[in-house]
Amino acid sequence: MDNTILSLKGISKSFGGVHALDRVDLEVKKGQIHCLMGENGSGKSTLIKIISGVYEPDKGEILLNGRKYESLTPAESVKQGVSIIYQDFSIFPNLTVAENIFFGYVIAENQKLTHNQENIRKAQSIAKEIGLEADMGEILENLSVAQKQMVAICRALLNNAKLIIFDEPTTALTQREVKRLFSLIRDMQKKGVSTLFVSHKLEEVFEIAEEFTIIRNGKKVITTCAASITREKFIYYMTGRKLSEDQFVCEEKTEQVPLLEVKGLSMEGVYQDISFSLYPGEILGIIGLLGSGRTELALSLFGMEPAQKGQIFKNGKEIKLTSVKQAMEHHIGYVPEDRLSEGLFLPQSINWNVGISNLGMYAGRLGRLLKTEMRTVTQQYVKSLSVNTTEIDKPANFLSGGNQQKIVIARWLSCNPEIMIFNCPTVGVDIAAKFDIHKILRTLASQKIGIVIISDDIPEVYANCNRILIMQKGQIVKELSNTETSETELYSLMGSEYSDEKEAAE
Amino acid sequence: MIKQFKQMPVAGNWACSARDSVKRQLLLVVVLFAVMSILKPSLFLTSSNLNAMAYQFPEYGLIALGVMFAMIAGGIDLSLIGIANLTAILMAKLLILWTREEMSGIQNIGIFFICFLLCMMIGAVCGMLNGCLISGLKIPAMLATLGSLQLFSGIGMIITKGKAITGVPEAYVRMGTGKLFGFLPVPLVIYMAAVFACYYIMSRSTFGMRLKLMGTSQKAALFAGQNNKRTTVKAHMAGGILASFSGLIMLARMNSARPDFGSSYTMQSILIVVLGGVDPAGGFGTVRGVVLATLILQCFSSGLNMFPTISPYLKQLAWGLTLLVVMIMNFYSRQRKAE
Repeated sequence: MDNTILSLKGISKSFGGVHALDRVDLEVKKGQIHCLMGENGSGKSTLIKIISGVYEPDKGEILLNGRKYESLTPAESVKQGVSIIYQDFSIFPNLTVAENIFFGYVIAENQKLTHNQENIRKAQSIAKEIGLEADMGEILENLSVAQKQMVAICRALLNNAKLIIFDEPTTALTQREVKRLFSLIRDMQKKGVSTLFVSHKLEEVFEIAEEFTIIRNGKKVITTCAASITREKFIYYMTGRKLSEDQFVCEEKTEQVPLLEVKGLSMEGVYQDISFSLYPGEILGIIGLLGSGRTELALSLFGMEPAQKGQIFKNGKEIKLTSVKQAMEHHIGYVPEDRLSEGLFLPQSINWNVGISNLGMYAGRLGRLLKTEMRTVTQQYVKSLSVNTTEIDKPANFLSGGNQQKIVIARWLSCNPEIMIFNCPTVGVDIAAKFDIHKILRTLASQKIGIVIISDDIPEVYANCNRILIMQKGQIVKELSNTETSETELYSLMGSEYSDEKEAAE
Repeated sequence: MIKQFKQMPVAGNWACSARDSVKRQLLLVVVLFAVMSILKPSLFLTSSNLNAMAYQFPEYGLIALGVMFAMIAGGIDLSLIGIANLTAILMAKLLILWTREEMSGIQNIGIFFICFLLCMMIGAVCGMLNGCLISGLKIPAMLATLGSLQLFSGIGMIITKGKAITGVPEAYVRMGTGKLFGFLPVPLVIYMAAVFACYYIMSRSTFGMRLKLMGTSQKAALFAGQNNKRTTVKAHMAGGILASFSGLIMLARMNSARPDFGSSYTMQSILIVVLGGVDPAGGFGTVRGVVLATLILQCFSSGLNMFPTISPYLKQLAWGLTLLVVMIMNFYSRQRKAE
C-alpha cells in the first residue's frame, strides 16, 4: 500500500447545468497537512461534501485508505476515519462538553445508555491530550469559540479520525488562538493524522501547509508544495488576476481641527481613558485582540453602547453620542463586524437594504415611500461600488460576501457620511473583493471622509491605514504611523498582551 | 453560485412562495366559490346568503389585518378580540349613557361620532400597551398579548359583571347593519376602507418598509439606525385600531356587547394570516394575501353550512387541519425552491 490516505481522481459535479466541479484531482498523504484553497464559490465546499459523502459525484473516483469508491455515504466516510470540522463546528450548545465529545462515539458504538463514567473518562483523556482546559460538565455555550473548536476536534479524535478536514477554521479565531490551533494540528500530524485545511487566507496557509491545491471556478489550478511559490503568484492562481496593493499615504493634513476627537472615553470594565483624533481624509486603524474592547469602542462611537465618561468632539464642537440616531445626525456611519446578522436584512431586496437608513429622504407626504427616488440612488451606488449585479430587487443573500459588504457600505454612503467606522470590513470576503473594498476605502478617504478601521487583520491595517492605534485590555497602548512600523512589529505588539500573561503565570 | 443558493436561509424563499401563494389563493377562492355554487346553487348563490357572508367576514377580517401587522413585525397579537369586545362594551355603555330618545338625527350622529373616536382611541391605547410590553420590556409577543387578552377581557367582565349589555340605541344598530347606497353593507364598507388603508401602509409607505425590515431582523434594523420600539408600538396600535372597528361592527350586528364574544376569532385570524402567506417568522406578507385568505375562509365556512349532513362541530377540526396543511404545503414549496 502506498502512503496516500485520500485520493480523488477526475471528480465532476454539476447542479442543474452549473459545473460546480470539473475534473478535480486531490491527493492527501498520510500525516500530511494539505491545504485546499479557493475563493468563495470556487467549489471548495462541494468538494468537501463529496469527501464526506453528502454529495454523490457525477464522474470520477474516490480512493480512501486504498479502497475505491464511486461515491461515499456519510456513514462510510466516518467509518474510514474522515472527520470534518465545519465553520460552525456542528456542536450542541445546550449539552455539556463531555456529552459533545462522546456523542458521535456513542452512536457509532450503538450504546443505549450514555453518561457512564467510562465515556466521561475517555472524553477527559482526549481533551487532556490536546490541551483543552475546560470542565467536562460545563455547558458548551459558555465556552469560547476556540474552545468549542477544540471540542469538535476532540470528537473527531475520539472517532479515530485519520483525516480531519477543517472548513475555514480560523474565521472566528483571534491571532493567538490561530497559533494554538496550528500547533495542535502539528501535534496531530506527529501522531499520523492527516489534515485537509480549507481556507482562503494567505498568511495562514503559508504558515501551516506543506502542500496545497488551488481550485478556481470548479477546476484545479495547481498542486504544489508551499516552499516553491510566492505570494504574488499565489494570488494570481487564486483569482486569475494580478493584484497588488501599495501602502496608503494620507494626503497632507491641511486642517488644524480634527474631524473627530475623543478624550478620556471610558466604559467600566470594557475600555478606559481612550483618547485619539481623526482628521479628514485619514484612515485610522485600531487593532487589538478579541476582547480588547475594540468592538465596544466602535459601538460607542456609533452611539449604540454609549460611553460612561469622556468627551467626543466633532470639528471642535463637543457632541453627545447616546443613540444611533444622534450618531446618524452627526453623519457617522458604521459597518458592523457580522454583516450576516448585524449588517444586512438577508432575505430582503438589495434596494431596501441600501435605502433603509436614509428613509427620511425618501418620505413624501402622508409617509409615502418615494420608490423611484430610492431606486435611483440605490442603482447609482450599486454601480459606483461595482456590486456584481444589476437586479436590485433580488434579495441580498443572492450576493457573495464581498458584494454584500458593498451593500452595507452603499447604505451608509447614501446618508452622506463624514465619518465611517468599519469593524473588520473584510472578514469572510474573498481576495478580489477584499482589494475592491480597500479601493473603496481609499476613494472615500480622498473625498475627505474620516475613516476608522477596527480589525485584527494586520496586513490589511498595515497596507491601508496611515496611523495605527494598538489596543490592549481596553486601553490604547501605542500609536504608530504606517511608514515607521512593519507587519511583524504590529503582530508582536498586538499579541504582547498574551505573552505578558504567560510570563506572569510562569 | 451553488454555494450561495444552498446557504440561503429558509426565510429567503418566503418572498417567492408568498407571491405564489397569492396566485394559489385566488384560484382557491374561485374554485371554492364555483364548487359551492354548483353543488348548492339554490342555497349558496342566493342574495340572502351572499348578503350574510358580506356581514360576517368583516368582523374577523379586520382582526386578521391586525394580526398581520403584529406577525410581520415578527410577533403575534392574541389580544385583538379582547380589544374588540372591550371597545364594544365601552361603546354600548357610552351610547346608553349619552343618547336620549328625544334627540334629533344630527345630534345622534354627532354623539356617535364622538363615541366612535373615543373607541378608536381606546383601541389604539390598548395596542400601545401591547407594543410597549413587547418592545420596551422585551416580553415575548405571544405571552405579552396572551396576558393583555386576559386583562382586556377582565376589564370587560368587571364593567358588565359578566352579563351582556343590551339596549343599544336603535339608530346605531340600524346604521351599523344598514347598507350604503342601498346595496353596500356598512361593515363591508368599513372593511374595504381598512383594507385600502392597510394596503397603503404596507406597500406604499416608509412605515411598511421599516416594519418589514424590522420583522426580518431586529438586530440589523438597530444597526441601520432604526427605532424598533417605535415601529413595534405603531404596528400594535394599528392592530388595536382595527380591532376596535371590529368591535363596533360586532356591537351593531349582535345588538349587544359581551366580554366573551367571538372567542374563536383569535384562532381564525391566525389561520387567515398564515393562509394569506404572511411569514410567521416576520418580515414578509401582503394585505392582498390576507384579504384573499379571509374570502377563502368565509366561502369555506358558509359552504359547510349548506350541507346539513356535515356537523357544525366539524368546523373547528377543519380549521385546525387547514392551518396545519397550509404550513406543511409552505414547507414543501420552500424546500422545492431551495433545491
